[in-house]
Amino acid sequence: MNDIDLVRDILDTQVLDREKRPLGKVDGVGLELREGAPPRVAYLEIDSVTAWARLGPRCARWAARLASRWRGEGHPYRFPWSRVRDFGIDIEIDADAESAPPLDLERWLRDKLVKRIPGGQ
Amino acid sequence: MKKILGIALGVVTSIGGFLDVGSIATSAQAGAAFGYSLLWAVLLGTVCVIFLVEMSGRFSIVSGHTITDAVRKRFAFPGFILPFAAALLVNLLVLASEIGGVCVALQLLTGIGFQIWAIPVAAALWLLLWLATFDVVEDGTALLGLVTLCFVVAVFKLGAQPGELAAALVPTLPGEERAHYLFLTVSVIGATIAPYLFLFYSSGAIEDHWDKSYITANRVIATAGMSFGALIAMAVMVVAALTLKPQGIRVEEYEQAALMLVPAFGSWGFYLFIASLAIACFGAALELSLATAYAMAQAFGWNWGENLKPRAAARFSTTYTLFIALSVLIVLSGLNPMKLTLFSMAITAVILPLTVMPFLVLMNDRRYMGGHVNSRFSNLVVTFIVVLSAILAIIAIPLEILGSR
Amino acid sequence: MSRVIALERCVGKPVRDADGRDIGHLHEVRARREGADLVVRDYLVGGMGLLERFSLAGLARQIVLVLGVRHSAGYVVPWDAMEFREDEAPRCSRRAADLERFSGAPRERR
Repeated sequence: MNDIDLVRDILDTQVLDREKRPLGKVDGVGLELREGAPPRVAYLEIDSVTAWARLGPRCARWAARLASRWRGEGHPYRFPWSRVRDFGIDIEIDADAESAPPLDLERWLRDKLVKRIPGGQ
Repeated sequence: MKKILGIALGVVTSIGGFLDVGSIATSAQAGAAFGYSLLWAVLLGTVCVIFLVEMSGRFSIVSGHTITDAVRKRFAFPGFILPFAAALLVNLLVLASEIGGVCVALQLLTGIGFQIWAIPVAAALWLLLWLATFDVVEDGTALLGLVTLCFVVAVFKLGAQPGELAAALVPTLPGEERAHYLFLTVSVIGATIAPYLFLFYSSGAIEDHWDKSYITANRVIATAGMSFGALIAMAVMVVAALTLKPQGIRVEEYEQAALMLVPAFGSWGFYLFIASLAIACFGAALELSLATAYAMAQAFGWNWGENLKPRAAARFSTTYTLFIALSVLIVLSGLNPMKLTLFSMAITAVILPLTVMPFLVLMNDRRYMGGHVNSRFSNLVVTFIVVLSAILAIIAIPLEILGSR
Repeated sequence: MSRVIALERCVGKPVRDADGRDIGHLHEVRARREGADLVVRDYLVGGMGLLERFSLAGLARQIVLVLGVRHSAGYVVPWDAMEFREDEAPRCSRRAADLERFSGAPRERR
C-alpha cells in the first residue's frame, strides 16, 4: 500500500481524529514543487472555502468574502502527511476534533443555539 | 430468532412506511382517470426500487459508509455539488408536499384551513426529531402507517376482479388523453422510486449498526417490504378506479379523493382515509427531514446521527430544523397542495438519473464492496434503471406543461 | 527555491504538450510513500475524448470501466515533465509522442 492516487484516494476523503470522530473532508492538497526533486505533498487541507474555490475563481472570491466576515483563526486547517495515522477509505489523523478549527461551526451552534433549546442536551 | 424478529420488523416498517403523499396523490389520480391502466407503472417502479434499496443497504453494510459520503469521494466536490443541490431542492418541495398532506388531512377532519395547520404540524415533526432516537422515529410512524392497509381491505370488499388486475400489469397506452396518461406514468414512477427512500435506507443501515451478518436480512427486507408496500399503493389506485372513476370524479383536490373508502367502509371510510393520509405523510416528512440532514452531514464530513442528542450533532440537527422551517414557508404560501405534490413528483423523476448513476460505479468498487460487488445481472438492472429514468426525465418537462391538470 | 500549489485547482485542467497540443485533462496524480513523505511519481492525463471536454470524464470513465467498453488511452506524464505556472494550465515539457500511454484500469487494491 505504498502507491497512493492523490485524486482518487485523498481528495474528498473523510478525515477522522484520534477517536475516529469526523473532522471534515480533504478539500485541498498542497503540493510542494521542488528543484531537482519530485513534488511532495506539503499538507492536506480541510476548509469549505477551498472546496467552493474548486468551482472557479468567482466562487472562490465569494466564499472567501463570506468566510472572512464570519470565521475565526485556524483556517484553512492544514496538516502534513506525517500526521496521518491510518489510511483506508477514510484518513485518520493525530488530532482532536473537539478543539480543531473545522468544527468551529459545530461548537458555535451547540453553544449558541442547541444548548439553549430544551431537550438539546 | 432475534434476527428473524428484526427482519420481520424491517419488513413491517417498510410496508407501513411505503405510502406517502406522492403515492397517494398519483395513484388516486391515476385510478380515477384511467382505471387500472397504470398498475404496471407501480409494478415497474417497485421492481426498480427493490434493487436500489437492496444495493443501498448492501453498500452500507459492507463498506461501513453511506452512499452520499462515497459519491462525494468518488466524484469530487465540483462534479458532485450541482446534482446534490438539485436533490436538496427537490427534497424541499417534496417535504412541503408531505407537510401539506398532513395539513390537508387535518383540514378534512376539522374544516379549518390547511395553512393554519402548517406550523403546528411542523412543530410536531421537529419536536419528534429533536427528542427521539432513530428507532422510535422510523419504527413508530411506520407501525402506525399500517393503517394504510385499509386500502387493501377495501379492494377485497369492493370485489375487484383478479383477472382484470393482472391484465393491467402489462403496459398499455389509452386511446385518448395520451399526454395526461404519460404525465401520470412519469409521476407514478417518480413517486415510487423516490431517491430519499434509498439514501435514507443507506444511512439507516449505519444508524442500526448493520454488519455483514445482515446481508440476507437486507435482501429480505428490501424485497418483501417494498413488494408488500407497493401492494398498498396499487390498492389506492384500484379503489380509486372502482369508486371514483365510475362517478367521473377526477382527483384534482384531496377532497375529491377523501370519499374513496366510503363505499367499502361506510362513514368510517372517510376517517380511515384521513388517518392514512396524515400518518403516511407525517412518516415520510420525518424521513425526508432526516434524509436531508444526513445528506448535508455526509457530503461535508460532519458528525451526524439521530441517535445522538442534538448537542452532539449540532450542524446535523440545525440542518433538519432549518429545512423544516423552509418547507413550512412553502406550505404557508398557499400553493395548491395537490398541484405541489404532482409537480414535485415530476421533478423527482427529472433528477432520478443523476441519483441512480453513481450506483453503477459504487456497487462495483472493490475497495468499498470487497467481495460483494454487483453481479453482471445487477449491473444490467442498474443500467436499465438509469436509461429508464433518463427517458422519464426528458419527457417529464414538456409533459408537465402539457399533461398536468 | 520551492513553492506550493493548490493541487485541487489543477485537477481537471487541460494539459498541453511541448508542441502546444492539447493532450487531455489532468485527472490523477500518482504518488508513493517515501519515509514520512508522499512524493509524486507521475500524472495521468486525458483518455476519454469528447467526455473530457464536457468534464464528464471522471464519472464516465468509471462507468465505462465498469461496463467494460473500450476507450482511447491517455498519457502518463512523469513528475519531471510537468510544469505548473501561476494561474495557468499545467504544461507538459515533452511531446505527446514521447509519452507513455495508459489504458485506464484503476489499480485494484485490497
